[in-house]
Amino acid sequence: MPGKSWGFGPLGVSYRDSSDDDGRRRQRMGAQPPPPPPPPPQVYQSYDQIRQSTMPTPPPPPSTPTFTPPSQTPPPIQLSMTVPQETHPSVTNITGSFTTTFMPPGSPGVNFNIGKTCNHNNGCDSSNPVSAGQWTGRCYDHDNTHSAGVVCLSGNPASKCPSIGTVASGAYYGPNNQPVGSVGSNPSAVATLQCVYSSISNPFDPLTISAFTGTGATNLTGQTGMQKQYCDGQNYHDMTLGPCANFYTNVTGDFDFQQALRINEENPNGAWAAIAPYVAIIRRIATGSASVSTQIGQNLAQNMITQYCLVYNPNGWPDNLPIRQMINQWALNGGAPLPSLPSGGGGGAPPPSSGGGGGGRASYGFNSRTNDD
Amino acid sequence: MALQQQALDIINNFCQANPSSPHCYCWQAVQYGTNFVTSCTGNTSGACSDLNSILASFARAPPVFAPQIANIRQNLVPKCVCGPCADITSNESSIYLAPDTFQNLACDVNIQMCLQSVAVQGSLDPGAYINQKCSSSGLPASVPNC
Repeated sequence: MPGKSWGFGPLGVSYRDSSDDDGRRRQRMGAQPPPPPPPPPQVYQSYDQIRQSTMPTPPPPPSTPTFTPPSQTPPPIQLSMTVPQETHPSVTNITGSFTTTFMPPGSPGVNFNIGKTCNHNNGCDSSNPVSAGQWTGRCYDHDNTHSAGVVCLSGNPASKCPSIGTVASGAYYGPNNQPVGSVGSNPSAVATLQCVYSSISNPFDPLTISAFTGTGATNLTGQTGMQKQYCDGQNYHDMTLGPCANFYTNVTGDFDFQQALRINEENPNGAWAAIAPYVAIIRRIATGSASVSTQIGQNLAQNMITQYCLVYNPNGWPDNLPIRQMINQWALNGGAPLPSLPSGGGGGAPPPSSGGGGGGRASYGFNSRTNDD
Repeated sequence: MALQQQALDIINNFCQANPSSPHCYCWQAVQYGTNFVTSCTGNTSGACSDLNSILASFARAPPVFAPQIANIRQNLVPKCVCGPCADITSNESSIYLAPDTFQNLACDVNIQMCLQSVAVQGSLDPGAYINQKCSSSGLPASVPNC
């Protein structure tokens, strides 16, 4: 997902995830902020006089309509109820320089041989040509005595690395993780393989996890590790359905932000607001009611909504029912369920189109109203 | 609350740019504020529709109710008179936009007043009579019992 970036002009702020300092994120934050036009100036109205009024409701005579519906109701915009699949392909691997831990023979995916030799050459043969030091100073082979027993390893260590990406190099190590070329005595026949990769296919793969767990390995699971780099390259669809959802939930703790970030990037210029499932997600994130809630996620989601209403669709957003419902609920009670009035109960007011009859204000019924969706 | 103010700002922004939009009927009524009746006099559309219906009914009331009607006219406020404002606080799918908080839009006073006049046409037989009986309570003495 190259070029991930976002920003807000008139009301917005730019966010920098301090827990994320890899190059990919820097690229996101620094590049191509949308250039929204400035919204009309906002004028805050004072309703103090109205608030102080306590006016009885004069119901009209039965023959007089209490409420006249508008003669012109804007047509609702068409909302998509399905989430588009993969508007951007996810990054399939991560690139860089990734060093494994020191892997002994038998480790998952590692297939080099190790053997103790005792022969007239006092060295390794072509089957296992790499020497890893002497396991003994005197050994017996059949009827002969030799002056050195040698630990021998498979050739071409790079070819013995686990198949988890593109191998840049591989090297053997002896006791105390010394390079095998400098190992003298190796009585326990210790040998490990360390590989360096230029790309990794999937840092959540069990072989990869095994290879990168232990001393000397590149950070795999941390907040700035390889899994983070991999997840940052995932699009919304793959991220939410794969292991990255768990990663962002449990490691970085900003799954809500990551969702909003991708929804915004993959559906730019407020296009996300026409996709009902995305509206529901952004609404939950903005109100802090998502399963993972962060301030940065809330800020982003709230700014996405503001941008949509003030910049991308300033004259049409009220025709978007989910958006209008959300904005109204926030305006009325900050996103919380609306209170019931003491005189309340029952089932709400008549619909706007009802023309008949007295009664004036109907009862208030908000028991079924939920927080935000 | 930031979220609440953000939403009110968004609504304000829209209705300032689109004051005649049906979405803004309540907003417009609230804008009139204490000048609601004056501003709506002669305007029977949009935010003024419901108010004018009420005023029209007052016009048909017998003169004896003039003091009560005058008192009510002075206190007609959008949140209690304007149907779109009522709809906002009772219908989460309302097409109207909320110009203020629920607390400030809620009309928590409910006074019912029945104005009725009877016109009898034709002639009555000798000895016949009409007995219309109303009961009223809590009204000033100037309101007659029938």
